Amino acid sequence: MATAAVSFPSAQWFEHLAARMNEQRAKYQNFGFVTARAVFRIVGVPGGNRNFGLVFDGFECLEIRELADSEIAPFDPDWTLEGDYATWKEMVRNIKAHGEADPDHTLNRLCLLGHPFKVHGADQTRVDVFYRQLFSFQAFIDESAAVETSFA
Amino acid sequence: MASSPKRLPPPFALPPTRRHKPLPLPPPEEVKARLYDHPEAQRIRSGQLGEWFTTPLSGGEWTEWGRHAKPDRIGMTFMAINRVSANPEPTNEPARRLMHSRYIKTHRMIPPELEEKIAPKYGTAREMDRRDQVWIEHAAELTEEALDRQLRPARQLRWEDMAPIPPELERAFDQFATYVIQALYLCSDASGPWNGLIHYGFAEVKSYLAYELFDYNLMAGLLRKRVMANGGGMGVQIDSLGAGLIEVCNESSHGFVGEVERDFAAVVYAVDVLFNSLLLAMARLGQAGARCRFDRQVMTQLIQDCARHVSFGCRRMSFYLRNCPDREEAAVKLHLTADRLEPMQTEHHLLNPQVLEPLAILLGGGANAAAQGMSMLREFWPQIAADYLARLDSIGLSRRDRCLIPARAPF
Repeated sequence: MATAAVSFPSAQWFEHLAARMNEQRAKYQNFGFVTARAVFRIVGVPGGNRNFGLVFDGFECLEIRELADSEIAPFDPDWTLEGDYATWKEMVRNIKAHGEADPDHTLNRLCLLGHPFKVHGADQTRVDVFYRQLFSFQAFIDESAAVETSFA
Repeated sequence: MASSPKRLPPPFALPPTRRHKPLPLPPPEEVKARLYDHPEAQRIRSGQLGEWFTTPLSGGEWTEWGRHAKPDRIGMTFMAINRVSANPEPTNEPARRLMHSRYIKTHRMIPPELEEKIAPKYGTAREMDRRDQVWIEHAAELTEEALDRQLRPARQLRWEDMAPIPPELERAFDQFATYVIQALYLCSDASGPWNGLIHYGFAEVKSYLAYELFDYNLMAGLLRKRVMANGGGMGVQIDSLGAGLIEVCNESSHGFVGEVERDFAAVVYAVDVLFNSLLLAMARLGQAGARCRFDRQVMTQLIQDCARHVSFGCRRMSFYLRNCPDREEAAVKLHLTADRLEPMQTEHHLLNPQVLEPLAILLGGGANAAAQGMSMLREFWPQIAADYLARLDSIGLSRRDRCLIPARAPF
């Protein structure tokens, strides 16, 4: 029986990734523990920009909530990964097609020049958490290969 | 018969190489008899256990008896044991002995003035026994992260993922790897000897620095294996890669000789804050240019390692500047170190064709597209100075008005 597609962007979509992460402790233990408050921001979505605040701790993603623009600062993220909707869509489709991001669609590659993705935050030493724990964040996003995704 | 060559006087005075006359040793029988009569030998023969066993478990030399640290979400971490410890952080009290630390008491029979004589300060782990010289905020967490995220080639890397790549890309990757290996050994050699001068009271920092040394050497070894395993080979050495860095480290250590104050802060600034910031930028470029999965994994590990080293450097500098006896003087010294290093590292590292050209080929996808890759490097360049300056803002050492790394690519 085919699984119902999950809409992107949505809290539910990120919850699917989190569920996959949390049920694969051994895989994430291999990468090392994660301690991060992250915001994934998708701009240019039909209907307006969307932000999702995620809390990673240990080998799990513990919390996911959609944030209004005004709620991002109080969420106190270490880093924000921001990109336009078209690129998010392209990345998710690429991951689905290859089982994981190909060389041109890794988080690092997409952020390299500050576009189409950008990693930023109020404090660069906290933004560096993104690079310190990159294996885990890439693996987390790569979990979308197993999620049937529909787009707005 | 040919005459023997004439001995010319050496052009400079050679120090004497003759060994000192050894002191006469007592006869072996006398040594053995003395050891037999030694009070400890007599006690062992009597079957009595020593004071370590008979002393009370509380109120004596033992510390923290009866604790039951429980693993936290990650495991049995430094955080977990610090949670039950009476001394979760080192104090500002200077150490008088090597093992006398926040964990271990000095024997009650040893007065402070004797302690000083038992453990010499210089050349030992008592040299750096002040928090402002050594400590960082959240030391336990970063140390555990360093251990947990350390490269485990046998578990994390699958050599079967290594795929043949076109010869010119292989050549470019191998040259890039050769540069990285050289850079890692440079960091390892510069910071390695300092660990022995850090007091045991700072157990987390001592462990962290050991792990950082492991990072450098594990990655250098892995890259050499990678280069030798995919049809390529080691590339050319990068001249002057350590420009300024070696001088700063040598001056700071005074060659690890003499009873003098050594400047660990300058070394951490040079190696962890500046040099690893540059390496992190290069690692990100290397990862983006890596064409096969295996190479991408290796470069991702390098990104993680460099970012962690940068974090250590920033935390160390931040703690140092907030806690050192004279913040203004400390800041001036660090600025002077940076003033020397930034232009030299820009010239000999960031603008080195043996570093940039392989990256340009990898990013462009071939030698014919090197110009396209170089254009990406040009576009990327502003992030090098911007991220470095943002880190310095965060640690309270703003260099926005004097940084000598160009904000835009000078090519």
